Amino acid sequence: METMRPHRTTTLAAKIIRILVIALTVGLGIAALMFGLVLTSSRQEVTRESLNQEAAMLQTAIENFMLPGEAPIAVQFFREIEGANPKVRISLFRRNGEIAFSDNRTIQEVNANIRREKFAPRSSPALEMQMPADSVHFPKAVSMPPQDVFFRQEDDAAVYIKIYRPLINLPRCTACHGSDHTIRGVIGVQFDVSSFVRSENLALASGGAGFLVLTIILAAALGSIMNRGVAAPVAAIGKVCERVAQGDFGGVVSVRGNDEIARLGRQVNDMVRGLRERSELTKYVSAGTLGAIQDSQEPKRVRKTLLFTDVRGFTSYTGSHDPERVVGILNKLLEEQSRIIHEHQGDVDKFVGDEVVAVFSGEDSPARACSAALAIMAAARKGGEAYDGLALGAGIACGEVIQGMIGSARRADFTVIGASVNIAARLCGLAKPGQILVARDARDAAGTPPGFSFRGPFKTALKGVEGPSVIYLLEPEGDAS
Amino acid sequence: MRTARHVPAAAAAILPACATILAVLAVLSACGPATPKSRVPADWTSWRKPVDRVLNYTIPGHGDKARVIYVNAPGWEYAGGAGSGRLEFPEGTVVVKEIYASGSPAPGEKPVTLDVMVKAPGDPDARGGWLWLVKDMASGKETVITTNFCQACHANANSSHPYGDRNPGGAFRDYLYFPPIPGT
Ligand code: HEC
Repeated sequence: METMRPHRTTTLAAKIIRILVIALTVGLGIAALMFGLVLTSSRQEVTRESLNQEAAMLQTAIENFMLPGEAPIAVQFFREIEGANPKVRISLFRRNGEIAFSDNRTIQEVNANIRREKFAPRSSPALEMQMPADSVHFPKAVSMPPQDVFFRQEDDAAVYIKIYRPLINLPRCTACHGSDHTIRGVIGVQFDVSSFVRSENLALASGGAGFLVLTIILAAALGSIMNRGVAAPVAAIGKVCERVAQGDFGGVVSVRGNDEIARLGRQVNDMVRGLRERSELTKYVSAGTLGAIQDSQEPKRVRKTLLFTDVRGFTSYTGSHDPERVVGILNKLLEEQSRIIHEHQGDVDKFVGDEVVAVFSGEDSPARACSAALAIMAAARKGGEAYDGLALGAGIACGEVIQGMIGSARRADFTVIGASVNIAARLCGLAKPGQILVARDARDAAGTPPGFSFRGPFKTALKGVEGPSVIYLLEPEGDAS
Repeated sequence: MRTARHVPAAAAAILPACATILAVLAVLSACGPATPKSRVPADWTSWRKPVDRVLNYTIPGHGDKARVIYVNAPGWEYAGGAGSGRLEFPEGTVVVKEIYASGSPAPGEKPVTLDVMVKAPGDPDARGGWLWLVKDMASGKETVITTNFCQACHANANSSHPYGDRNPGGAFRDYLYFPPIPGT
């Protein structure tokens, strides 16, 4: 036999929770992600736009300051803007990436172009901007066609957004700067966005935490709803079915509502009730009879052994005792007898008042009927006081009988009729208290198994039977009486 | 049974994801590139020129290569009635500037590049009412310049400048250094 290994089961509730968590995480996660993206991108858009405007303003300023050659005023202007907004840094580059105004080369070129020493060389650089041109982004700004370049830069302390905006060598600039180049230089504006990024990160983190909490709460709430609506009822149904599997038909699913699960619960209840009724039935009807009923209800001729018992002097007993007691004692007696009959693979065919009619099938049915009768007598004797000292008589016969549904269309029993039924009944009637009378055929067929002892033969006339009948008295072996 | 029972749950998990992906795709496809179609009429050489001579002095933006400018009929028709004051060309005006490989092209030589202005105020890529584009003659590829590079320099044409009639009055010339003014 294979040993039962406990195997890992995932409960329905766990599955529901898992599905909910996946669905919520995916659904809400995407929504949260999109929201976050929209948020940051709109913030970036705003920063970009303001940088752009700042650069445009600086560009116009430079173009206008430089037209009359007022480089020092332009520098002063930059400084003042920076002073007013500490988050902003401005730089000005030559088109080769050098810092503008850092030496006197441009002044010399301009003086050469206009063929006079209009601008005096400076002794120190006018603009000391410490930020060199970015080697990746600067070339993009001065490529053809030149374009504004936005980029993000991070160092240990801060996060910056930068713009490089190319300055075009306009025709009106050519008088001083010459016509041989298209790009004059590049304005760089740097904006410290650390505080934005920090608050953005905070918003994202708290948003993420909120999303997580929301997911958990929703999963828990939906999970408990699903649990109450689905998992718990299914588990209850499962428990009832489990009890059925263990032979206990007492379980009932408590059903509420009218959904599929409620209907399933009702069906299970119906089914269990059916099983319970059937199992009640099998207390009195053996599996053999049930099988016969299932197979067919056609009447047929079969060989059976009949055991009849009844209570001696029961009619006078009923007259002298109160009804509850009578019914109580009788039921106890009948219960005990049917238990014993079952033990000997016999079927209780019917109870007629205090009489029990039992049918035994098979080759060894006479022997089983005899030992059942002996057991019944022993039990009645042993019960003694419990049965108010009531004693039983029994008759056993065997032979061919006709078995079929006998009765009316409204009320029929699957029972037996025939000569041996009659003989067994007569023998039972003849038996004195505690006696078991056995017809000859039955005695012969039973043989002499250990524990049996037959006395006889006796000859007797039985009502409804032609001629004298040979009968035996069955007693337990070693019984002195 | 087993799989069937899992289907609605799995679908519930996948649905929001699918919806989101679909939405994203819809947005992306709306922004997709339009099919390219030439904006430069092929017959520009039959148009009238605002400057008869070949320009080959060095200028910023177009270099020292030989340049020839053409303006199409709508441009000329408008300019004919507009005089030399404020100019604002009608939609459909096209100005083509041929750029040659050298400063002195041989007769019959073809230009290597066209710098083109197409008046199309409704176009989202238009700047100052013009579409600014560069056509590479070898590949036929037309590139619309969406930055303000061209426009920024051509804005100088609306004030006095060193070329042509120099726009001494600083009139608004609709970004053209050599507008098709009859007689200039
Ligand atoms: C740095 C200044 C500058 C830039 C940048 C520039 N141009 Fe020009 N452009 C000129 C000048 C000056 C002329 C005058 C004609 C000449 O001398 O070639 C001109 C002339 C033209 C003309 C003829 C119409 C007119 O204005 O006379 C067209 C068309 C043209 N440019 C297109 C473009 C396009 C397209 C771009 C951008 C890819 C561009 N330009 C960029 C300076 C510039």
